[in-house]
Amino acid sequence: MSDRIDKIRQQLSAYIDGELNDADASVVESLINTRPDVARELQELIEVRESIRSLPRHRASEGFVDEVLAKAERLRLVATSDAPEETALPWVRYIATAAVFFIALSVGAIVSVMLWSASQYDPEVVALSHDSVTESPETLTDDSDYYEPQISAKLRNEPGGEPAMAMRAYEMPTQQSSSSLDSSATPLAESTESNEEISEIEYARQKVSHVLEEAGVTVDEPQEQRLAGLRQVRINVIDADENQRLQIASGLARLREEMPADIELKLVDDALPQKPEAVQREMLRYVQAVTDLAAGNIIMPAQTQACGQMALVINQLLPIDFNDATRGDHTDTPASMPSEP
Amino acid sequence: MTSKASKTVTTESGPAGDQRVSTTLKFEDEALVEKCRKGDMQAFGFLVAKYQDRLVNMMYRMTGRWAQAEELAQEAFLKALERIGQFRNQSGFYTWLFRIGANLALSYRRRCGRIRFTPLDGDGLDETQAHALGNRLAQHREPSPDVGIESSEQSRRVHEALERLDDEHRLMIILRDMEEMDYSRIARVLDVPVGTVKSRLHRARCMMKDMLKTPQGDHE
Repeated sequence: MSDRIDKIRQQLSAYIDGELNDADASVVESLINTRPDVARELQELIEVRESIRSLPRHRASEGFVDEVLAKAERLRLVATSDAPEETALPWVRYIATAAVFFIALSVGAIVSVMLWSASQYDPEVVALSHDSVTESPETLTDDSDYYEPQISAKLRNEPGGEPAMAMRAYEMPTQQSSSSLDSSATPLAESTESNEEISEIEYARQKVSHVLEEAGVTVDEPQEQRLAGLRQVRINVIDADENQRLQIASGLARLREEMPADIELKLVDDALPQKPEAVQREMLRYVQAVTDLAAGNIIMPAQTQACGQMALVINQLLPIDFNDATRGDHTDTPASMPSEP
Repeated sequence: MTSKASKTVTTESGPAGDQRVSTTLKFEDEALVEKCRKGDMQAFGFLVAKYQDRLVNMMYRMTGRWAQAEELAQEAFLKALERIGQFRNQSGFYTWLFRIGANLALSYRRRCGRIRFTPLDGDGLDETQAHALGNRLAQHREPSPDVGIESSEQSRRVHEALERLDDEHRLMIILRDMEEMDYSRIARVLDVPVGTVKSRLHRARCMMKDMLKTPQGDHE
């Protein structure tokens, strides 16, 4: 009986919205007529609805349409169905597409052959690539997050590594190691997953490094750690004045949209709490600029860092494997670490 | 093209804002969408003018920030234009547009879930300083043309209660009680069954009811 009444009560909102059929509505009405508490609840729900309806409606600003149209023009989103070059010479587009596709295939094939040859005849490279692929996450050292560029640099005898090249260099030996070079190598599926994790956080690290370079600040060696469900790279900024801090914050704000979904960028800056004597106006300008420009980034005091230190933290959220107790120190997770949304 | 289209809209709307929607209603969405597909920016301008207030209002109620609301609404219109070729007109442009807008608002809220700000009453700031700074920040960061619009006590309480709902329930209330969509349209916007709309909306109203019953100051 009670369940039935509860079910009917749950229809009250639909009843006042006129969304019930006649049969259901009459059931609700009979309950309202016999139960004062239900009638009271109905009245309260009506009042809630009316109070929400009475909220003021916000209007778009006067220049809204102009702004949208201007942005649309800039983004060249206008349909080009009546563009003469499209209709007059459609075959040019097909030929151009085919040519680009052919060139891309050729380059890919050449690079693949080169990498395969290198890994076949250079035992040092094979060993290096194999080690980095099969290395378990928990054994990564502070320097280990740079092994991708190192591998590609090794293959090309260059000091640094261009990112796209690094990915290819990383992927090719992976497949070989899992198939022919070593029967104990990491399975291919697992290696592929690992590649994705590394490439995304490496991409983020390079972007962040670029922002730091543009700001002209000096940074420590990036530090990496793995925690439960999280892979984190931390870059401490050794010294930065206020303008540089603002530049970094705005740079991060720009980066935010480019980041993959599971990558978070955080700006850790304990300069604010460490400057109680600062003029309030300056603090206002600083906090406002950072919060406005860097919306989406995290600002928090780094309690374990030196006074006034700034750091950039790149987090990659990983699926938690509860069966793998050795993966990271779960108790080491800082209280301020964001949780999975 | 841009100035021409927007000028036409402005001229038709006239100085009285209320005229803006009504004068453009004579254009059927379907015809405007068809023109948009052919690259007619003036038609797109009409669609923007027609739905701008409703979309901005929804975004404001979802984000609580004026600047963000306009930005997200603009993004929704641009996405709609970008994908206008994929629009099949099965559920109407308005529903489709709000679906894009709702997804953007929910994505924004999820991103915001990761934001944490330095507590201003933390180390190095005494309570008075933090309070003053917080107030000044609040004044400076939301230069909304509708500042003070929530001035009445009742409106403020309703607004606060709405803000404390989780995203899905809040969106349900906004679409039903502010946008006055029927359940089937809400279901299409949110891509959920009508039954879900029914139960979720009732739950949202019950939560609102409880929050509005609670004496002020007992929320936390």
